Amino acid sequence: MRRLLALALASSLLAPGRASGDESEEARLRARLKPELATPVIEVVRSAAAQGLPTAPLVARALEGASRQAGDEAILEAVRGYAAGLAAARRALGSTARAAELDAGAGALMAGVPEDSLASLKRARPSGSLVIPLVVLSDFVARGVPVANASNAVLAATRAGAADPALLRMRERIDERILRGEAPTGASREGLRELLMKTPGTPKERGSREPRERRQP
Amino acid sequence: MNGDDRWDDDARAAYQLPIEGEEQARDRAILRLRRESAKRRTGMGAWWVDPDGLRMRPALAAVCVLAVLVIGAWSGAGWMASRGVRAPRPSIATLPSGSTAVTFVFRAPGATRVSLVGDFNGWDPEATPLARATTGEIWIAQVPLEHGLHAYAFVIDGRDWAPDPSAPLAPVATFGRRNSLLVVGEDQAL
Amino acid sequence: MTDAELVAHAVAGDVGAFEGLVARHHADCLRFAAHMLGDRIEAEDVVQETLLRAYRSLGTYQERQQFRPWLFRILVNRCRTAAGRAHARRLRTAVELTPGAAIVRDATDGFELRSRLSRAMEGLDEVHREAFVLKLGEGLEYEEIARITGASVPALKMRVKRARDQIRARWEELEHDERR
Repeated sequence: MRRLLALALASSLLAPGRASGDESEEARLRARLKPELATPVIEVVRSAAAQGLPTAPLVARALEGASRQAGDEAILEAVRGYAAGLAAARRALGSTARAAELDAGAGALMAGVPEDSLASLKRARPSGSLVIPLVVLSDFVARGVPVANASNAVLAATRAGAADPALLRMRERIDERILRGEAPTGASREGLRELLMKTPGTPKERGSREPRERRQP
Repeated sequence: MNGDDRWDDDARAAYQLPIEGEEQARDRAILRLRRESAKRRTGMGAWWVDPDGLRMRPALAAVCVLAVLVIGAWSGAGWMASRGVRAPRPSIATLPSGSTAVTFVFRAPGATRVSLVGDFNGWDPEATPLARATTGEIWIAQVPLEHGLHAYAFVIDGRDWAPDPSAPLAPVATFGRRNSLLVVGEDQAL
Repeated sequence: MTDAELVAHAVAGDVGAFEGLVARHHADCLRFAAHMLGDRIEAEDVVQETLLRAYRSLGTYQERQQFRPWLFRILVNRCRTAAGRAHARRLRTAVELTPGAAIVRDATDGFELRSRLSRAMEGLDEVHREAFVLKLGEGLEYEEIARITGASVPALKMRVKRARDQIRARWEELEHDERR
């Protein structure tokens, strides 16, 4: 019984997203948005559900826009843009990608990270979750690291076998450097170098355009 | 996933089940800490570690202790409520399956009200207020969150939205300011 | 705020910042102490002592250290002291960590899991229990556990392996018994 429950839980965590619309989501949207905005937003949500894309991030963007008192057009544009981002993320990450991976991937793509970079990340970590690498990548871009450098730093670290906690530590170190006034590009390079020095095993950096980093024994 | 990994996951899940009464225990720890801090600030407290520091007749001492306990229990409950600290209450610690209690700590000098908004509460600024810590700048909230990715921000005095300075930033400022990102339940691999 | 920022404010005299650290780490500390001592009440006492000691010792905290391992070093020492007391020496586990003492995420399933783990850990000595819980339960790196416990990384790997083998064997026996 316990194993069955565990399997049910695992299945729910691994599910790529709801395949159908969610009435409670629609009710929340109708309660918070004006009717003339709720209707087109719900259309986008239903369309995403029909494609098997996660709908919760779309509802969240609409509710966030309402709370921030954004204009109707801005909210609808944000929801549509995010839906397109989710679809692109699934193209890059594959049909087995989980909802959280698609959510993180959509954000990265909308910030200008190319689909190829997401696909490379998927190849670098084919069976593990990509949520943390994608969040770290997004954070670098948000803090001014050029997209190519940010992508290469996360890709090189992932190929080197860096686990999620190591990636998060690398993010903290790089953010600290940027806050201290270092240029984002140099900060990301140094952060990656520090991580690779501490990562056991041989880094698999083939294909990375980032200069190969030397590791100390 | 092989059998070893599966067993590790099961054992880890069993280990990580919440301890009953943890919130109440945490509140008691914070109260004790506040007492310690008050002693440090006022220089009081040396008397009770020094057996010669305070002498009193036993009957009077007993009356005083009783009075302190009664007054302390009465005023302590009110004080805790006013501070946003929950009083101990009998309850079972429960978290929904696949969720984790996350502690948010935010520094907001001069604020009179801070709340948390995010994907998990419909971005409703009234839904999740933070409690002010003993001093005026630190605000704290503990929220059970489902495993997955969450975007969030803090709202100061109902007007100003700010990201969490210590968290990863969302890559796009969809409505003018960036949100923070939080991943729950992803970094627990052995 | 990061732990390091909270520590900096606490060192500067802001007890509210230390409350933030308590709010963030109390649950982990209590869980660890409960599994080490097998006694929920004793665990709470030990965690309070740990937090007070940490608060008084903030001056010795180095900025480059991670706060959590630093706090756990104090906690491990307090647990060792408590376990050495006569009434906690037996490492009571199964009885006192089960009904009403340490539970439950979700109906009976979580209760059953916790109970099984507690019983499977019965009889395990302190150093093996400590290594197992820090590694598998708390997910710390071996280098961090070495700094916390004072043991070498190879010794810790051996302890984790032995503890894991022993606990797993007992766990599977219990699981088998439960199915019958």
